[in-house]
Amino acid sequence: MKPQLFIKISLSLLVFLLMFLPFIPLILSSLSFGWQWPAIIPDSISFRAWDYVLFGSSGTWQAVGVSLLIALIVTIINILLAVPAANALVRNSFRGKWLMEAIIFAPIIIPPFVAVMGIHLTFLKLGLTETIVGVVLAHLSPTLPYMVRAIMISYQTLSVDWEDQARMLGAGPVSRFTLVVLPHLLPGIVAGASLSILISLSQYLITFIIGSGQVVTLSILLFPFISGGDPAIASAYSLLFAGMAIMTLFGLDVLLKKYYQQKKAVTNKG
Amino acid sequence: MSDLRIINVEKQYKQPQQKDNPAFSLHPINLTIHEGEFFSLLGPSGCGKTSLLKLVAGLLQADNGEIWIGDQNLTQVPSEARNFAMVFQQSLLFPHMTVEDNVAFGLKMQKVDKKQRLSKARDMLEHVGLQSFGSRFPDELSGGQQQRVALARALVANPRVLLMDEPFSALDPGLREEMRDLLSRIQLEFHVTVLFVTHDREEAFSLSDRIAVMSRGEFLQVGTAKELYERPLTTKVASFLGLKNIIEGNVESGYFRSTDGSFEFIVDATTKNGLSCLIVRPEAMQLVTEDSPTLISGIQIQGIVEQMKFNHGFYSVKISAGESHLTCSLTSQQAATLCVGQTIALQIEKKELWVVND
Amino acid sequence: MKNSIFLASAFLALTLSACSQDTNEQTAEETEQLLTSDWQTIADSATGQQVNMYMWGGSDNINRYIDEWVAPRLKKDHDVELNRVPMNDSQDIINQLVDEKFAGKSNGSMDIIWINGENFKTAKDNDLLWGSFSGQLPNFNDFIDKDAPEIANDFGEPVEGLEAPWGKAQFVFVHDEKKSQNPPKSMDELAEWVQENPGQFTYPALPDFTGSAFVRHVLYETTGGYEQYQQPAESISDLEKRLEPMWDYLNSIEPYLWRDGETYPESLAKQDQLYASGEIAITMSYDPALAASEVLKGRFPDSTRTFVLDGGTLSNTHFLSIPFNSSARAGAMVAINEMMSPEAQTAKLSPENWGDLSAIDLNLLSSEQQQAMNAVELGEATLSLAELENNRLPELSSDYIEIIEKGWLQHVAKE
Repeated sequence: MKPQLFIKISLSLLVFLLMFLPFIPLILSSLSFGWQWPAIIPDSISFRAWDYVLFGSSGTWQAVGVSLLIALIVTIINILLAVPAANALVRNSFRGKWLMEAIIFAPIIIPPFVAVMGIHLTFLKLGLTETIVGVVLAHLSPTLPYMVRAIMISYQTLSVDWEDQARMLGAGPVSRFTLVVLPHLLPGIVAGASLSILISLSQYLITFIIGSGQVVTLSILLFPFISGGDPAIASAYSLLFAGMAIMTLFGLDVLLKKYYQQKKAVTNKG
Repeated sequence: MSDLRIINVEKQYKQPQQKDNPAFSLHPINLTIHEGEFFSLLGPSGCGKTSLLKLVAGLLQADNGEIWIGDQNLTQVPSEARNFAMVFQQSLLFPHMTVEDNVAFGLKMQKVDKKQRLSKARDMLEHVGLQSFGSRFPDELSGGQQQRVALARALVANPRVLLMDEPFSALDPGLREEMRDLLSRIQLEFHVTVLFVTHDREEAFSLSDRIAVMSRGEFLQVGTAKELYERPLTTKVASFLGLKNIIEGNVESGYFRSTDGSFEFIVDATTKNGLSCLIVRPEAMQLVTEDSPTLISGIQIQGIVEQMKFNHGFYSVKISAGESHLTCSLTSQQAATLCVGQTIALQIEKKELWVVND
Repeated sequence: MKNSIFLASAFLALTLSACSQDTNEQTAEETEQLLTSDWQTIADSATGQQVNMYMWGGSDNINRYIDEWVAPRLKKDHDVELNRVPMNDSQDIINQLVDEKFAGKSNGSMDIIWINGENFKTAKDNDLLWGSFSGQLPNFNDFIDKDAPEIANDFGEPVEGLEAPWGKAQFVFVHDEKKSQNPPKSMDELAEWVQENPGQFTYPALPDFTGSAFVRHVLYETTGGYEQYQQPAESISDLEKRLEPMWDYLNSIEPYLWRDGETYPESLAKQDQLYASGEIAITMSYDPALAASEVLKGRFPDSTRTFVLDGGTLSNTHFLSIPFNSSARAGAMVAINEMMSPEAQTAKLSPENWGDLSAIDLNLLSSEQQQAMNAVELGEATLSLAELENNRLPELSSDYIEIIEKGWLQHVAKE
């Protein structure tokens, strides 16, 4: 029993370290003032980078808001599109099914800038550039495949018998979907949503080209610093970005837990 | 009266619906199931019994024919509005709902208010002996308990017909029997019409008022368990029911004569001439001893004991008579006097001799 | 399902295009009038406009200068709202404009763009710029020496009023005084220096902007001065032969460079990193004040100093321009004029703000303004304005730069 506990603790510690190790240099570098080789840690610290990122005129908070708004809308649209798509792809066999799958999953393989040039011209003509909606539409292509994939896996484990059973108990199409199908898909939807949010948040090229600088997300602010070589500010932005992503996923997790708890509470009360 | 009537229902599959099911079609079927009757569809897998059940449920669309209940035509009514209930092989309890909510599901769909439906659900759980399990989740229950919840869920909304698709086949044999008893009891209590699909003849025999034996998409025979067992219409039915003593022969001018000549007796005038089979139930053969009464009408045969097997409470004895091999059931006391290789005499009453011509 | 996606996106597209139509679009006539009308009219029509300035966004100093110095003053004095849009690369601005031109987008959101050199040439060749507007700006007329070659030409390309000068840059070398007291002041000295200090020098691999500029200094010093190249490259028939001493020189120092010259830093940022971490002794910059601001940030050691070659270093001008489809041209003109004012230029010169050399001619300023500009503390690492001014060499036009960048890959990076 005891050695097992020891292994457990040391393993958790290892995982924890592995997860946080990459952040340590980032934290140091974001606070560094005169960090010269071969010093392992900076001689003195400065909050210059954080001051610029958090309190300066950099528009960071607005960019965080825009990033999250876009990721949220993208994810909601993804769910609305992916559920029927996954349903059709898993349960029906139809002519040209492989082609549909290939089209949906193509953005995973084809680099985004190939498509985004064509999208840009089309969106220019439609007046969709420089709008959040245009960016949202453009974000759908790299995110949708992951959502469809995740929900397809959920559908594969949902036998039609479940819906037949609900049907025999008098459930119409809407009740069948909300009371039987949706709860089963939920873990898949959450997995897909997490991916969709993360991918949307980290889109630079697509956001930049379609948003044309008028839709400023955190990655738009972050990129010039990464390639421009101000490591302190780039590190601070990277940490903020990671924080935003982690908080979002954490929030999603909390919401889900709340949902299940509520369900349990309601059933317990009854 | 709200009898369930199945009128000329037929269904053709153009392609095999699954890889292990060959393409087949359900021949036009006519059947009336009386209100409160327990009716079983018995047949090997792939005979179309589940398809017929799903056609009745409305989960499959028939090519032709109609489903009526009483004077109401249900053919175009969607499954969810038929007020039927169905229990599947898997319990299919919704995993994210408590047992109580699962049972109350059908009532919720009927917009029964919460208080009422939960009280009804609890009542029903009591009927299946699970009154204290209401607030648990399905994965905390054993397989048998889950199936009992499924049964409670199916019955709670007073369905007009309860459809059951091999509901106990995934359970352990001991549990299966327990479930049969429960089902019989509840069926009598609620007086619900049951259409039950099974490939297990014992199950069908012990539960059913009437049974339809199915093969390749058609009914071979419909009748009570006793009728089927004692008077199977064809050798196919007989062999499916496990009757082993099937002796080929010929009916000619009022006589049945087996091919090897070991059986010969007068048959009813109604029996058709031609190739026929004699079917003798194992328990219809009695050992002839010194003190056994002589039969007024019947036949006696000589045979050599080939094998004796103890079979809960009685012996199943294999005998060769002429070219035929027969199995008869003998009591332990009778069997105690026998040994393998011994020649014995058996007698069969005339009324137990059942001749069919296919 | 395919249909539903298609329908959904089509629906969205329709609703969006309907609401994104600009309501207060200026007519073509009105905007063209801005090129001829008097300044007061322009200033009046600029009132209340929002001006989007697209520029490289990778320096917090520059960003802060725009956001915290320029923008509030514009808002207060002229009711023009300046919105800085960060870019990763000025090339992206040009690509965007090419697409917009192709798609016929007339109500663009770029009002001011920060360009020079090759980007300017591409923009000019593709008609991506609005028109000759700089002559309309009072500060341009008052404080700029319009005939100076570095104002009239942008890397050899005639400016023709399509862009207005914003600042100047001059190439400097950066070294740590404590580590190397006598830095090399010519290419010959550099060749000796690298032999004495192997592994301490390198330059960013071409086509890096700064690396390429370094090689141009080698060209000037090893092939006999810049004067011969003030004509189109095509008209020099024996150009390849003339360039040979440059390749020979670069190959001769290569073995003594950082990592034995087997590899070069991929960008100036990487080279600065090497200098900051003490791996190499000399770096370089096309911004004479950058070293000072890096010292302020603590990235470069305090003993960092800059120097120019005895034969002078390259200098160029960077400009602000207005794209063909700007929606707020009057506002853009007011903003650009304001950014060229002596006050804005003086503030820009201060390393605390940015440290960018002024585009205006000191001689055209009033004595007070001159004083203010001279009083700017440039930081110990930055050379005096006079020292920089006296050691300036003109830039090469982009046809040469292209030849040099290709040639470098062929002759120097070949191994």
